[in-house]
Amino acid sequence: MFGTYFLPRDLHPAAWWVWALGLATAASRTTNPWLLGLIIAVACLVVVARRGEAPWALAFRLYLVLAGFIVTMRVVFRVIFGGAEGSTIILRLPEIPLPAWAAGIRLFGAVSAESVLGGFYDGLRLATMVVCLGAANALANPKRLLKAMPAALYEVGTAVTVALSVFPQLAESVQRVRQARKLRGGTGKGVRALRGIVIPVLADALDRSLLLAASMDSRGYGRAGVATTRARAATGALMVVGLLGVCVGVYATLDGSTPRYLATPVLVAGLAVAVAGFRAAGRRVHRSRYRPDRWQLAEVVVAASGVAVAVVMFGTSRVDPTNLNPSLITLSWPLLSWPPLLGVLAGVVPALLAPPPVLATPEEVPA
Amino acid sequence: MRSRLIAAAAAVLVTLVAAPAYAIDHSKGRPGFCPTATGVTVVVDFQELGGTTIVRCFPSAARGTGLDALKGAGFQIAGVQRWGEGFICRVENRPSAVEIIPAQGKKNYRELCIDTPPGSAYWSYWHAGNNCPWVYSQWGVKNRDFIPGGFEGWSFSLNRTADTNPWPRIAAVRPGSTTGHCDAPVEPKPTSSNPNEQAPPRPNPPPRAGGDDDPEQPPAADDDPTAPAATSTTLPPPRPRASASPTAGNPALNAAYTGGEGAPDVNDVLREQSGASLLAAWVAGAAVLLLAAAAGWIAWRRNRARQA
Amino acid sequence: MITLDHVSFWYRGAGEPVLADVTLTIGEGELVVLAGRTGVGKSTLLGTVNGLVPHFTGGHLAGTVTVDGVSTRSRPPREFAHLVGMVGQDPLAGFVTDTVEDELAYGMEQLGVAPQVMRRRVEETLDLLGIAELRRRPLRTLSGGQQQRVAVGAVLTMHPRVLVLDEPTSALDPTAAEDVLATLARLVHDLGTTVVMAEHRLERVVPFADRFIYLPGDGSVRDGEPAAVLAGMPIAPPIVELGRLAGWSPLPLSVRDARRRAEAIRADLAAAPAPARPAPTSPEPPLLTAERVVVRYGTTVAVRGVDLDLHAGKVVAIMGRNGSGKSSLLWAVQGSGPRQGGTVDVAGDDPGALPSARARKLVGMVPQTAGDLLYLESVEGECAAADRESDATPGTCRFLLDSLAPGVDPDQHPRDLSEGQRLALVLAVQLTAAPPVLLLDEPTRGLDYTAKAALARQVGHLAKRGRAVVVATHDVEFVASVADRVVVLAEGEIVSDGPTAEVLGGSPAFATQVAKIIGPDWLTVSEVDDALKAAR
Repeated sequence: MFGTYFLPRDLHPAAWWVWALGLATAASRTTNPWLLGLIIAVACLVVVARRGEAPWALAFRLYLVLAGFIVTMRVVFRVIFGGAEGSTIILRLPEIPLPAWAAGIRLFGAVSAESVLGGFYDGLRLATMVVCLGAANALANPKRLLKAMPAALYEVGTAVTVALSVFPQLAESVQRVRQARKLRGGTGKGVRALRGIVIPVLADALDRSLLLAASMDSRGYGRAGVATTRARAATGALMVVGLLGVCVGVYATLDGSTPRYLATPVLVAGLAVAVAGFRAAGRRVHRSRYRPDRWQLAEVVVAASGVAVAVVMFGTSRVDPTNLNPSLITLSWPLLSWPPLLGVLAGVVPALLAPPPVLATPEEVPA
Repeated sequence: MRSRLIAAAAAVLVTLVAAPAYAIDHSKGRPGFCPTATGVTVVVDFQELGGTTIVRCFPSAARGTGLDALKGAGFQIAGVQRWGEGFICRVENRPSAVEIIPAQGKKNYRELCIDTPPGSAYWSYWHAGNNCPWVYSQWGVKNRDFIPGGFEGWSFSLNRTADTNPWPRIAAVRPGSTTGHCDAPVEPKPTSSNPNEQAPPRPNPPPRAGGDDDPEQPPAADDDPTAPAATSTTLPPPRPRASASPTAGNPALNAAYTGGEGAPDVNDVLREQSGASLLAAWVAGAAVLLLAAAAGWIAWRRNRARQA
Repeated sequence: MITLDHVSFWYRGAGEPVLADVTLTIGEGELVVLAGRTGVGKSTLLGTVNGLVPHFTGGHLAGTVTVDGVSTRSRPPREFAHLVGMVGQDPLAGFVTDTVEDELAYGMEQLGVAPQVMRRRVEETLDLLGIAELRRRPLRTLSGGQQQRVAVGAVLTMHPRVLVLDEPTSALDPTAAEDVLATLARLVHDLGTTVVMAEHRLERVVPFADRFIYLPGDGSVRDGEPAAVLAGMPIAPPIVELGRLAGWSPLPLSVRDARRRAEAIRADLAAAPAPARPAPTSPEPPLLTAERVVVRYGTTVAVRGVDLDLHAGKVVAIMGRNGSGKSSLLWAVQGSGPRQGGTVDVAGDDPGALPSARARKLVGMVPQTAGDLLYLESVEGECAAADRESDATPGTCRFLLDSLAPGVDPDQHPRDLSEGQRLALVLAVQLTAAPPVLLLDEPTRGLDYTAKAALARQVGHLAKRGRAVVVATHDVEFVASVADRVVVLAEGEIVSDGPTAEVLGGSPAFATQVAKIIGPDWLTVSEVDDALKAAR
């Protein structure tokens, strides 16, 4: 069994998403910079070790840049707009006086370490969640995720897939037409020039979409099953009621003041009805899937590691919440205890125990 | 500019590495009531949280906000993450992150200081002039100035309604001040919902005959065996009139209080509460470096393989 | 297999039927070629086979179309997906997924084929079409020929009984076109698939065809053996014209057959004087000099240090496979495209350094998709705009258009014009600026023989009036009829540059049909015609 476990293959995209969402959930529970930094390091290591070579996989760097930007902006905002809350003043910038109508806002002035740190912790938490989602995007093929959607949502998935391919097409069209405009002298600015670009591009896009529709139609897209109108109405009603129930249940769970009977029972009931609706809708569809991604042991391991990180973080927040949100009363290194630390380290498991990705080039350099 | 940054970085490092401060910052403020009309007395009453009330003086002659008074008296506070110190959620690490507060409508509630505390468990903010009753403050702690010679009160309100918030159980009477009635004007309410609106400056109190510092006059409620006997030739001294406004509480009914001298070190308390380990922090730092190095090595190896 | 019974079709709002009382029967395992001018109804006829006409296009269909006993009236096209596979003109526009393998499997997924069967069929199709090593490639990165093959494979996996193709080789260079046609022939021979295809470039397709259907344009069809139908067609590939000229009957359909019969005519031509060909360059100084032109896109080098001289009155043809740098070179020379190195000089100015309004007065260009330049709602409007843009007297563009393509209704929307008319309109718009140098990028794509002949005449006129004209194209026959000089590019460098006869003569990839049949000295039927007339 272990022989085939480590064969290079692409995992089911949902496994990577569960892992990443587990890490992101864990990050949302804490502002301790040790833990957040560890989560980022864990995500980076797993991405570098297990990503493929498609273009979407190589865009992870952008997420790191975005994360850095978020942290910097939070700190800068604290420095500019409200930095003096604390006893350790590190920087004394001149305060810029504002007119009377903006009397409550303070620009610059003294900057304290506590407020800068507060901004840093806050920004770091958001940045960590962004990095986790970026890791999911880099590791899981988004198109295959759409393919893995339940049969009832197939049309929606197809529409999204087609829409995703429209944008590069549009961009290419615009470029071609702009170049062609130069051949006519590139006349003028404003509405006429815009018209000269928009009309050919839109006409092109319309033509292509008609061709695509004809092609899909000829290849059998939309072959209906034998469902009657009544059956279709019933499944539609089931799905709508189920989704409403889920919405109400989620709201009631998150808001503490609504009566308890609206929370868990309604949530569970709504989920059950929605699933029944999906099942019924999926049954009328006669479509098969080519080489669907399967959940094997490796997917379970990857997903379980993400869930474990989230569970440990939820558990420790009950036991010692102090470290998860380090206090800024007195300025000192944030404290850390062992359980959350070990919990976060569990997220590294996919870097070691997930099958390697399929690469075009071999990993070893031939001698 | 560069030298300033270096100085700032050095200051941060020094502060981080230096010994942590004590719970009460003994370098600030003085224990007990303020002796004179300069400065303001800050009273912190833990009420149902448990713990001895602390009374300290902020002896500053300059004006300052309620927050300045609280910090200047040496108390260690924490504001919520969302509003900063605009809303105080912990005073002297109470309520701490580990203690469960029996707030109404919330099971096992712990104050995590992330967002505004609920109305059933929060620190209520009071103020009073000398000899005045406690007034529930209509302004936030950063939006109003303290009353010189007066009192700033903090009382933990647990499961109360808006009308029944408990005031601090220390009477707002400076020992040795004998005027007996309340001079502080009523503060106007805020006119808008703008959180940055500041309270208008207080008009100067009218000069009093004899001034505030009359240590000789005992308060009216005391029986004074040394009162001058009424003679037939002089008129008896005027009786104190029962005024329309309520008076300050009876200092004889003050709860037990300290000046905060013996409070434990907040950082030690935190460390104990959390079960943190210094080693864990070092291990975390080392783990981050190790993971980064591993990621870099794997990326380098792949690049090499791709170019081959 | 396919039966059309008294079929007539009107588009919505059209008075004249596109198809009028067409009755046809196509048997199983036949390769049928549809021919006719552009706009005459070939695509419509192909669409009736799988029901796209009228279910998808709208309009009114009278009569019955039956495929394998099932009428298209009762079912929409998707219910025919297992019977009829349709490949459109633009394969890239018809792709639904991202990679080759997923595209091949898409049709089978819609049909609900079992997963094991799907895998087996995908592997078989990859082998059949020779695209096995492309299986994980994104579709966008494939060449035109590979895309066409993937499109064919995507419908083949459904094992249809009928394969319908609309101009499969229009965008391909000769070698890729040969590949695709050979694959189709193999399908017909080995698998017994019925193949119905519409094609302009009949010279490639005629050897493979079992049946020929010609649409003259009045709604009817002429249907029969290729030799018989071709004999009566006004437009014909060179081999047929040569056959008519030499009086061969029945007409030979492949170059091999023709060569066997060409002995007599070869003997005649040996005695005739060699055809007079104009010199490739003129002794006067060139109108445009380009030296060491370099064009790069990121790390790819499209044009590597190319030198080009264009003389007045001469027509230069630039040939080369797709991706060899022809378009990049033309754009760089015109000045609107990127140019990372080298110099271009037109009468002392560098068009790349001038604003585009002035550059177009020096070098005019008609790009590959001519329709990108048109954005107004009527031909009249485009002409007026062109006059304004070129600071020409009003009416110049109209006059040019009438001389290039007479009979164009000025109120028509430019998108409703035929390919040839649209090309003529864009050409008129660019000529309004009266540039001395004119560049045409793949003008013959989608044009039928008549339109191509008209274009060749126009190009000749332009050259005679003292312009330098450059044509980038794959079409060997067109080049032979119009060009004085041929430049062949490969990987961004010039491989050969010389008079037409020299470059086209010896190489098998670039030889015209006449050259293949008679000999490397003779390129076009008109040369043979003139020589024979002179000999008599």
